[in-house]
Amino acid sequence: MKFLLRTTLFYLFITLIVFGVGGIITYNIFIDAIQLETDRYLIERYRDISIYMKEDPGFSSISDSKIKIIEINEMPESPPGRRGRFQFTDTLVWHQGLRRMENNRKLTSFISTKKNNYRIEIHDVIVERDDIFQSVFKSQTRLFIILGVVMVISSFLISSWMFRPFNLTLEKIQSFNIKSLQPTVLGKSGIKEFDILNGFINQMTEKVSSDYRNLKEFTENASHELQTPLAITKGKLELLLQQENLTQDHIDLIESSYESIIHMSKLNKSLTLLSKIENEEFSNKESINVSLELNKALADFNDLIKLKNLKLEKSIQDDVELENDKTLIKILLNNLLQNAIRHNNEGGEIILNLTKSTLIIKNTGNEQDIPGEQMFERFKKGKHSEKNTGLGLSIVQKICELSHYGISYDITKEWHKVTITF
Amino acid sequence: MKLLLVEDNQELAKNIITYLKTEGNICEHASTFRDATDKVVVYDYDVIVLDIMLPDGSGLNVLKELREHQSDAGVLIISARDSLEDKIEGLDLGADDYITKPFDLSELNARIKAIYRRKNFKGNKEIIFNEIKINIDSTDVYIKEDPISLTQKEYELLIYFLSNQNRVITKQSIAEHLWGDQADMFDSFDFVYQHIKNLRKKMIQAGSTDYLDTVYGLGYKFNTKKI
Repeated sequence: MKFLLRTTLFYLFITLIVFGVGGIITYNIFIDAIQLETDRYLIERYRDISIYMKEDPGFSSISDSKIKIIEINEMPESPPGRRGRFQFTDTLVWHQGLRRMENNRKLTSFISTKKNNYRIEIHDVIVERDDIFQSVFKSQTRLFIILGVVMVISSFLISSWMFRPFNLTLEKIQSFNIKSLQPTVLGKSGIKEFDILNGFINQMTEKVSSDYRNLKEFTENASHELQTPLAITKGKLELLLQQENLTQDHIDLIESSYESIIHMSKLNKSLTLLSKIENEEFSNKESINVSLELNKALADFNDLIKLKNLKLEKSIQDDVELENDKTLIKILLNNLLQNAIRHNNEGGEIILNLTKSTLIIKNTGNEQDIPGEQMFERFKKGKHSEKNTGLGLSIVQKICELSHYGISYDITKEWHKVTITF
Repeated sequence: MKLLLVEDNQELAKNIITYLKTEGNICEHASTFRDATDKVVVYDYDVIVLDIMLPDGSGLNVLKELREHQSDAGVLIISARDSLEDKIEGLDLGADDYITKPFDLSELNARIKAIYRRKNFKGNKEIIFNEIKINIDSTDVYIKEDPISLTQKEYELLIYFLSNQNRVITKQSIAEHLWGDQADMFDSFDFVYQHIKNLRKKMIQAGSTDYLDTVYGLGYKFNTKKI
């Protein structure tokens, strides 16, 4: 929910409560005012009557249905109402014109002339409470609707005006891509809080971009710079090998140095590849026939499979297509097959299964004491392999992660199983 | 064979020159872009081994220079970067092959010879060594004029040995030559032994001298001094 929509709704809710309470207050004020006016009017009439009765002691009668004059013997001792000589009550009186009982206000008082004592009752119609309630409700509702409409419109206008710099900032952050190496540049908005925020974001993205660039350059340079000394050392060892009269001891020394150099250059290659994949340098997406690629890779490995006397059982569905970078898919398949062959036992088995949704590679191998999911960690090696780099499966996992494929590694006794779900 | 090596690293250049010179090749050296272009304009070479990253410019520009002078020298590019763009650009500019550091000298040597063969054996593409004759086009191999049948790998192996006569070639280098990156991950080199054993058997059966020496633990050597 948008920030402004939420605040507007919140304010509307508060206004609703205020309008409700306000309505009750208004209603009460109306009722009090009307009652006061009616009472005043009734007192006015009473005064007229009392003057008339005192001036003309033998008054005949007053022909008004709203006035009742009753003769009494004695005046009551205490005044009839709280408000001095008058007592006001609400009563129901038959209304001739409307032909129903109507709410009336009644004044009761006593008067004593030279001739007799009288009780006087005067009543008149007052405005009904229902009517007052309805009109108050009507006016409050209309006001509320007007206010609501004005608030929604104005908040919309304010949001597009006041929050413009903020929305701009949001847009820029969303479009920020670490790989473009472009820090965001956010201008001044003239609002203090937004300017602080923008300044902070500018600084942060600049730092992130430069860190990323440095890291990338470092990895690239480190691996390039390593290649030349590796090539030199390798070459020197090869030249040394060509010398006549080498003893077996010499040869052994050369061999182990040579192997270390090779191991180092393999490590270097794998790390470079891994960082290239992480940097998404392989992003040339196209439709790839995975079945075809898998069969090709298998043909390449045929020699090695035969050499280790492995039994290959494959069921490859035809024309499984994936949208991905060709190099990535090749690396993925190669690494998986290599893994299945290298860690296999002499005369072991490989079971391959490719469908439209999954690729399963099962192979026999040594029992491992590390859990399957740890096999993806960098430099994690099983207890029986010392010479490999320990990066093959990390590369596989990285490719799966970037391509949004699921991957799992299960070990049950001597069976290792890698499952990839597309 | 007359070679030009364009490489700014002195030690690496020394390695390569030492290895190549023992076969009686003439091998000149240029360590800068400027030096290289000067030499390329004045002299003719059979093969130029070119490092892309030079202190004063890209080796790819040397290629452009060569093209302008319509030189027919073969070019082998050396790069520290295993990047596809460099490879494609180099090959587009007329390079014949591409090798990435760190490489084996025996591999470099074999590649240079392959380029040289392609450029020079016009019409008659044959390698002849004593009783061994290889037709490069048809990939037929003859021992004393009798054809023998070799597998693809055995054939490549034989060429590799013939390109690096009297050198100790490590089994790792052989594995990488035959299987490329796939050999990269293997710690067992038994499969190299298997192929060499088969090749040796076939050749001896056909009446060839056993030229292959085993250098224990390390690799093999095609020894020509055995007759």
